[in-house]
Amino acid sequence: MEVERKVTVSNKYGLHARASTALVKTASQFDSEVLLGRDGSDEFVDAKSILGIMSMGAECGSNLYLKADGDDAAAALDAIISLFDRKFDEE
Amino acid sequence: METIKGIPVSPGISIADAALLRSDNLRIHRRFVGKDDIESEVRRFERAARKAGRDLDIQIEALGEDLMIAAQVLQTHRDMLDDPGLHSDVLIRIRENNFTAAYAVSIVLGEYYDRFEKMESEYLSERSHDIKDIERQLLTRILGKRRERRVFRENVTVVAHNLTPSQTASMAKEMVVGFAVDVGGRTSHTAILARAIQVPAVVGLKDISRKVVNGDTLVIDGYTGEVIVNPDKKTLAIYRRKARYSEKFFSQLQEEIGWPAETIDGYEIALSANIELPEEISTALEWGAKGIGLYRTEFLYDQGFPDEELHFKTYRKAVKTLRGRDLVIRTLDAGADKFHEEFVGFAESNPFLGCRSIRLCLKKPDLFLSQVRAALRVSVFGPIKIMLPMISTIEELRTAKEMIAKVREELAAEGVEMAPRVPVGIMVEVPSIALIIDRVADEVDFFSIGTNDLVQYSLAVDRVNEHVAHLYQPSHPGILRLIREVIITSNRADIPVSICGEMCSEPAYILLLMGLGLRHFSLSPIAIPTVKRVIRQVTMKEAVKVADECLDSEQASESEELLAKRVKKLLPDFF
Repeated sequence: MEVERKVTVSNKYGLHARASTALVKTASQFDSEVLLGRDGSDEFVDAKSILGIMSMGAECGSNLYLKADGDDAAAALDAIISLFDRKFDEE
Repeated sequence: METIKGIPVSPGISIADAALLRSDNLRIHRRFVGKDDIESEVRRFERAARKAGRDLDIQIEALGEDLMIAAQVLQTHRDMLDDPGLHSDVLIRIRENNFTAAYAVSIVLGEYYDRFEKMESEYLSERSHDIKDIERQLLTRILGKRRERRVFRENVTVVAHNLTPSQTASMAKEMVVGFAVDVGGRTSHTAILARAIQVPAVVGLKDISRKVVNGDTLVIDGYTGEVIVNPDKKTLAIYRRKARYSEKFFSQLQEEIGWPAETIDGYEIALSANIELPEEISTALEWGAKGIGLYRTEFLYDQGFPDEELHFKTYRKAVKTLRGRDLVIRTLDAGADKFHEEFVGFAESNPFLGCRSIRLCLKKPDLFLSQVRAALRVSVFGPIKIMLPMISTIEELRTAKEMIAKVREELAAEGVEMAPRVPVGIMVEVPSIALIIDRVADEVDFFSIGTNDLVQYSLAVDRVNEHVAHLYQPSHPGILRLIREVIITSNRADIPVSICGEMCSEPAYILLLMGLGLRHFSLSPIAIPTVKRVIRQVTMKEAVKVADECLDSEQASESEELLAKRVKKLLPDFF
C-alpha cells in the first residue's frame, strides 16, 4: 500500500536535532518505508535517518511531502503527521 | 614570550607544558578492493560502527547525571552512528563501487559534512563538527588505530584547534590542568567541561595551536583570558605567585567558606552566584554562595528548542541541588548577541536596541510560556523566583505578569501542585525603568540591577567595540547616581534589591557598591571568596565614604584610581 501526504513544518526551529530524533523514533516504529522530501522536489530522504532529515535543513514554514509504502503505511503517516501537528511536543 | 588573548571560560591559573592535540589528519586514500574482499570490508565497517557505538555508550554512562549536557551531545552522535541511511550509503559504496570501508566512510560522511557546513542556519552548520567527529570515530576504528587517546603522564595544558565533543568528554578524568583552544565561546563543549571539572580554560585564541609546539611552557589565566607562551622569568614568577594565591585560596577555602561575609563593623552582605548550568551549583555552594541570584537559562537552547519537560527537568535538578536555597530563574534573554538568528528570525540593524529578551518573549509567547510553566511546576520542590530581563516599560511588566498569572490558573486547573506564591521580579538594566523605579516598585517582588546592560545603555557604549571600549565606565558618576536612586527607592518601598552584573565580581567595585547601599550581590561563583575577603576587611563607614567620594567625582577615571588604590591594599597578593 502506498500513501502520500503533505505537511508543513510549524514548530519554531524546524527539523533540528531534537525534532529529527523524535521523527526518526516515530517512523522507526513502522515497517513501511517512509520518505520525506520538500514539496515539489523529487529528492527524498529516509524518514528513519537522522542525518538525512537534518541535512534537509527544513525550517519552520517549509512544505514537505511524505510518502510511505508498506502494510502499515497509513498508520505510519498518521503518526508522523500528528507529530508535526503537535509541533514535536515542543510548544 | 608571547601573550595571546582569548575568552576566559573557566577560572583559575595553570602553568604547565603544552600537549598539542592535532586535529588528526587521517589521510584516507582512494583505494578499491577486489571482489573477494568486499564482504570482509563490509564486516570491517560494521564492526567499527558497533565498537564506536559501544564506546559512546560507555562514555555516556561514565559522564552520568553530573555532566548531562556533554552526555546529550554524545547521545546525538550515538543516534547518528545508528542511522540506517549512513549504513546503507556506506555499504553501497563498498559493494557497488568497490571502495574500501575507510574510503567509503570518508566519502559518505564528507558529503554530509559539506551539506551541513553550507547550511545557512548557524545551528545546523555547527552540526558539521559532529559529522567530522563521527567520521573520525569510525575511521580510527576501521584503520585499527589505537584510539588516539593520549595518556598524559604528567600535568599538561591541552592545546588544540578545536576539541571534538568526544575528545573533550574523554579528557574529563585525565591529567589535564588547562585548556587553550583556537575556536569556541562560553558555551563550547570545552568550556562547559572545563568548568565542570574546575580546570582553567581559555578559548577563542584563534591560532594558538599553530603557534605552540609540544613542550612549550604555557600560562593559562582563566580569569583574564590571557595565555602566555614561554613566559620570561619575571612573568613566570608573577604567575607562580598568582597560581599559588589561587591555590592558597582553595586550601584556605575550607576554613573560609563557613565565615560570614561580614564587615568589621558587623554589616552582613549576602553573596549569591550567577550560573548557566545546574552543574555549576555544587561548585558555587562550595565557594560559599548562599543561593543562586541569577540562573541564565539560555544554555538550554543550545541544542535546539527545549520543550517544557526539558525546562522542568533541568530546573528541578537545580532546585534539588540547592536544598531549600533560593533559585532566581531569569526568563529567556535571547536576541542581540545570543541566538539572534534562531529566535528573532529577521535582520535587525541594531539588535541590542531590537527584539531581544522580554520583548522577544512577548512577541513569541510560546517561548515564554513553556519556561514559566516549568518554573511554576518546580516551585513545589523549593524556593524559586522568576526574574524578567530587559523590562523598559511598565506595560511590559504587566503583560508578563498577567501571562504568568494565567499559566498559574491553567496549571491549577490541571491539578498541578505549586508553591502558593512565586515572587516575580525584574532586572533593572534599562535606564528608563531605573528612572521610574518608584512606580515599578509597587508591582514587583524584587529588583536585580544588571550592570552590564545598564552601563551599556546609559553610556551608549558597546564595550566589545575596541574603538569605544574605553568609554565603558561602570563607575561613571551618572551610573552611580542611577544605582543609588534604585537602592534608595527600593529600600523605601521595602523591596529587596540586589546586583547581578559583572561589576560586583570585581573586587575593586565592592567597597563602592556597599557604600551605595547594596547588601546583596550575585556574582560569578569563582569571585565569591575574593569578594568576601574584601568585605571582611572593611567597615561600612569606609565604604560609604568611598561611595560619596566617587559620587562627587566628575569623571570615572578619578573613581577608578581611588578604587584601585584601595583594593590593592586589601588584596596585595591579587595584583
